[in-house]
Amino acid sequence: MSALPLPAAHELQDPVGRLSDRLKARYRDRICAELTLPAQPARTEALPDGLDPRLLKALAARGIERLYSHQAQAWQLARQGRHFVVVTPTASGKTLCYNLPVLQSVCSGQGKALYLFPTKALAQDQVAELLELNRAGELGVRAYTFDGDTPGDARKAVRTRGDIVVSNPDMLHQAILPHHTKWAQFFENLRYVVLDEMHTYRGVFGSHVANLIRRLRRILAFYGASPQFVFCSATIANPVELATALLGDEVAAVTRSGAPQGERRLLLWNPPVINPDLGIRASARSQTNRIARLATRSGLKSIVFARSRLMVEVLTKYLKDVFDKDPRRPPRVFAYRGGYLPTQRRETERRLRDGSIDCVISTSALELGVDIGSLDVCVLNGYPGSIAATWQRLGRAGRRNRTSLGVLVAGSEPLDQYIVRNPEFFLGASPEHARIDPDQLLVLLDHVRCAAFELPFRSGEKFSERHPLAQFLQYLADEGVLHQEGDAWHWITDSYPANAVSLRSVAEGNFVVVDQEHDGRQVIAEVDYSSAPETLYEGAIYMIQAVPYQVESLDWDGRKAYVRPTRADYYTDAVVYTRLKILERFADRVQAQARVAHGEVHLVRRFAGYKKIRYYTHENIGYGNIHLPDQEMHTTAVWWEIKPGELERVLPSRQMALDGFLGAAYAMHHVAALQTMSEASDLGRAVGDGDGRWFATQGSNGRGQMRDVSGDEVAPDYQGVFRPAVFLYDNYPGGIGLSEPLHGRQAEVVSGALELVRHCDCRFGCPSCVGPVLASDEERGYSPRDLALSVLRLFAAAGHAQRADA
Amino acid sequence: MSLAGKIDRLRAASLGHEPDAFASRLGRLRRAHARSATGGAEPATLAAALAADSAADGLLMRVREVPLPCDDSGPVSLTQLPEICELRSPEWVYIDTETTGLSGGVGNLAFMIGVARYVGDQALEVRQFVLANFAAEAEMLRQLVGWIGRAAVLVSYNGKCFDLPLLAARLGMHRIADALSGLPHLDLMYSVRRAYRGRWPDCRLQTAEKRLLRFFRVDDLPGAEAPAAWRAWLDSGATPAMRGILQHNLQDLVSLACLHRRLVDVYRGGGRADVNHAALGRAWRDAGFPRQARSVWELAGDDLDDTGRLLLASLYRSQGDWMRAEAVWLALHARGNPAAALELSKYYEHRRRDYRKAIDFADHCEEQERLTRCDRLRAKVGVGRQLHLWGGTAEFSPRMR
Repeated sequence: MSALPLPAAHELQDPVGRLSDRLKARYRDRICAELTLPAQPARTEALPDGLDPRLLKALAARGIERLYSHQAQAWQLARQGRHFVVVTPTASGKTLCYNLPVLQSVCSGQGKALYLFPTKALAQDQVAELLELNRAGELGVRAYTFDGDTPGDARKAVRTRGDIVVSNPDMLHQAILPHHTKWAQFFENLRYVVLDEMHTYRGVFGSHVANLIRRLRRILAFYGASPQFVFCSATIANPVELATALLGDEVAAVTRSGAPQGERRLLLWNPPVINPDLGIRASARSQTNRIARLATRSGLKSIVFARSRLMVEVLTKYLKDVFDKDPRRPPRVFAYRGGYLPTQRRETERRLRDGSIDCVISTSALELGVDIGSLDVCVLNGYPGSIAATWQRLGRAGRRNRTSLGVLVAGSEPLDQYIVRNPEFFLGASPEHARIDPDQLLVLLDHVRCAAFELPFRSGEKFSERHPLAQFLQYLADEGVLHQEGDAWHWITDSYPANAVSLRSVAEGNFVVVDQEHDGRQVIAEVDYSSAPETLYEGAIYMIQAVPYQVESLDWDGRKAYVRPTRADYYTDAVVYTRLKILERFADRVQAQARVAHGEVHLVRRFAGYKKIRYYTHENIGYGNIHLPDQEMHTTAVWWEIKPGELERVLPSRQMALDGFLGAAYAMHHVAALQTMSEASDLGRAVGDGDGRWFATQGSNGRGQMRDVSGDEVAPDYQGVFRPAVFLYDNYPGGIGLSEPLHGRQAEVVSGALELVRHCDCRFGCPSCVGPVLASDEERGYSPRDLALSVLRLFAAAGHAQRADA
Repeated sequence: MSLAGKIDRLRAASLGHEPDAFASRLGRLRRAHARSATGGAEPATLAAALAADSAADGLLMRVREVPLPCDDSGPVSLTQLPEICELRSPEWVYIDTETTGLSGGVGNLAFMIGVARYVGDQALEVRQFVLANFAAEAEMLRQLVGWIGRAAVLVSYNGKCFDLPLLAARLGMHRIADALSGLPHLDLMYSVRRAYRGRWPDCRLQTAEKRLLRFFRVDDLPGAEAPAAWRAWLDSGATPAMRGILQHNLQDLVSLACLHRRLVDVYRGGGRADVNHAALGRAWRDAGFPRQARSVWELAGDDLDDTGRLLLASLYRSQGDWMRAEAVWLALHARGNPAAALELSKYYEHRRRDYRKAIDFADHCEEQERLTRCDRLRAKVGVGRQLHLWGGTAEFSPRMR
């Protein structure tokens, strides 16, 4: 395989440790932090009594003679009839936690199971694994996938003969529940419902899934079934809370893994700064390439995760140029991503398992589910977006009795920079709180509508704890959707409501993005109504998996954006004037110098135009106009104000205050997105006063500008009262439950933003901390970064907090 | 603020156009007003308007004996269709439903179900169940299942994909055993489609009525207006549209029975030139009735297309009637049909063992066949390519294409 000379005996013992030492010695200045997680021995328990003999045989065939402690604990909970959630690392044998009780139940004729995975591909992998166990023990268990690809004539067999049906939430929503009478036999005998990858059910999607579970349980009750629910999740801060919110019932937790684990080392790697003025660093790609090369040269097996398909191809080419130059030798480097043919992917998986691949470069496609054996080194080219996903990817490296190494190479995005400077995130409790709001009015209304189609509501029935059902039913009756007769509310309109409800958006009317290059009909993305105007205006560069497309035309009424792939060297940023008016304060928190509140706001967004910004240098290279109507929205927000007098003490000029607030808002926005486990676009940010009299934007010179109600620029100093505030709001009509917990955790948001800005290596501010800075220090006479820090310090005012709930 | 107001505000803001929300609010108020004005619709009012009896609380039933307006002479055996040919003295039940929606799923119901069976040969007993409210649905379904019984053969138009699945779902909603889905079921839409697809603009029941039965409905309320008719009754107690739907449903049942008879005739070869005879005969053949297939094709005469002729010839061949088969093929070959040339080539090679003629015919097959066949046949006769080019085949060979 490798042409290196034979290493000495002592080196053979721990080649991974040797590589890690070498990296540390050579690149000390690039490694921000090093974490070592000690090896953990296996903690096992005997197989439980009473297992079906065929099941025992299947386990034996897979080499399983004892259970890990978490599997045994899950078994106990299953036997006690409790709902539970399992939170253990990748490759710890998580699936057996539910497969064991489910197979036992099926084998002993005690009932069937429904598995839900967030995506189709994961469901298919799961069935493959079940079938393998099935074969090994000749269990005779019938496990089928039921998704959009299931042919019509096979569907009946799945419904009537399936012991385990593996599907996804969209199928349950659109195809199963609205036709539940066909599933009567299956539902009557349903004993377990399993939801794997629970951490993906958060935000809007999670809020929908919680309502979907309400609908499912309602139908199950109709058939006299009340199955146990089992959730599995990657590590997040609040698994029990999330599972409980999804189910609306008490959920027990299994959180301690008993699987053995070799020592794991994690290096947080920041590419060196090459332009301190603009805060520009060397590319993550160059660093990843270097590390993967060293690992492969050391004879180690490695996996590299990239964030886009394009990056996978680029890295693969660079590494193949080094290691696969000789066409006569079998290739050592492989790429793996969505878009490859299934046969190609299966082949690469097989080679990974039998160890004939030295380096594989993948998108998130290899993050979950697929069995690829174990590797020595994992390199992440850029922060994957959440700590949960980071751990899942790092978990791909690591053998039982050997050290493994993970390297997280940071990109220039604020989150990347924040993460590598806060290594405690990887050691302490996860900061990521997955939030859902199952009682969001519009989401709830959608599902009450679907549920009413599936089974008439009776007066006195409950659907949501927070809102009385009767008002929704009356609303739908008034709309002509339902008809009340006695105490029953019957469906009366000619429609199939599930078709009009997408589980991934709040409001009706999603936009689809159509690629004109491919027959002019290929839909390549779907964009929520509320974020469409700032991402799909004509001329916008729209990125999908880091591949740039340009929007050529936007059909606003038809909800379609027509795009074409482009090679532009710039990205676009909409200039949005967001005006907020506080409607109601739900909670208020008064601190020494600042005041933090949570409540309902009315916001108007005007799309004034867009900037073209060149990659890497972030210079502004042009403007374009956006012709779209103003957008209005009611939503929930959390906001920070500074007490009168305090601001003037620290920031004498209003211009400086505006710059400081804008920079602080930028940093807080990104930190808040991290803590609520949401995309940055799920949250919006704005700077202005709470009455909507003025708001602040960043002008073409990079400086803050004050604008009045009609969007005209006004001089800050000529305003009467000056009480700027930073708003972070749920970027969905009605809110989706993100800003409320932010109020509770406001101190973490502010301190996180302080960390981010304070430890940035730029001089005056950069996209990694307070946002792109266009004017130089000389022109401005002060550093935007320092101003943001001043504002954040006022917000923080730690230690003097007193609470006053309004 | 009220919940409704809150939702309206959110939706208006999210959709970006206030007027819609306003319109929907207005519509809501109007409906609420209509409801309060009538104070609920009384079953007796509907019963009187439809001249129907009360079969149970909220369930109306109208029974009529209707003579069939078909102009055929004497009784025919209604089992003479490929799908149902083996049934012995079946008990026909015609069925048609009017529903609250066409969208599928468990949420839509049939508020009117018409069923009919024969009284003698020339009349139907038509029984129509009508719901005056939702609560009576379970009772209606029970009575329906009971009346249809376990020995019936259902006859419908598009019932396999629409009416029966809908009834099955509704039976499931009331946890009543589904005794209907297992019954033998003749869906006349399939019979019509097989015979006329591509030859008529569409194969809807009313098109079939016009073209096959010469029925032209007067003042008919289209079935698509059924949901609105029942809704108007529920919301405001209005009955005129319900009367229209009841009449429409009755007409559908009568049409079904007449269409059934007419299709038996068509499938015996009594169709006009617009029928796809080839497909009819194929249906007979595939169902295991070659004699009927042969009769359909032979009766079609000049109306039979080339596909049909090839099918007829291969039927002759399988019955050992080589002479007739060859005659059909030769006629087709004379028109330049390559498939017929292939059949003739096979016939001369394997049956007559006249390889030269076989080669001549093979030369007129489709490209791919031609090359492989010719090569093989030449090898058999042991002659080279150049020999073949020498003439002598003119008398069997049609004009070159």
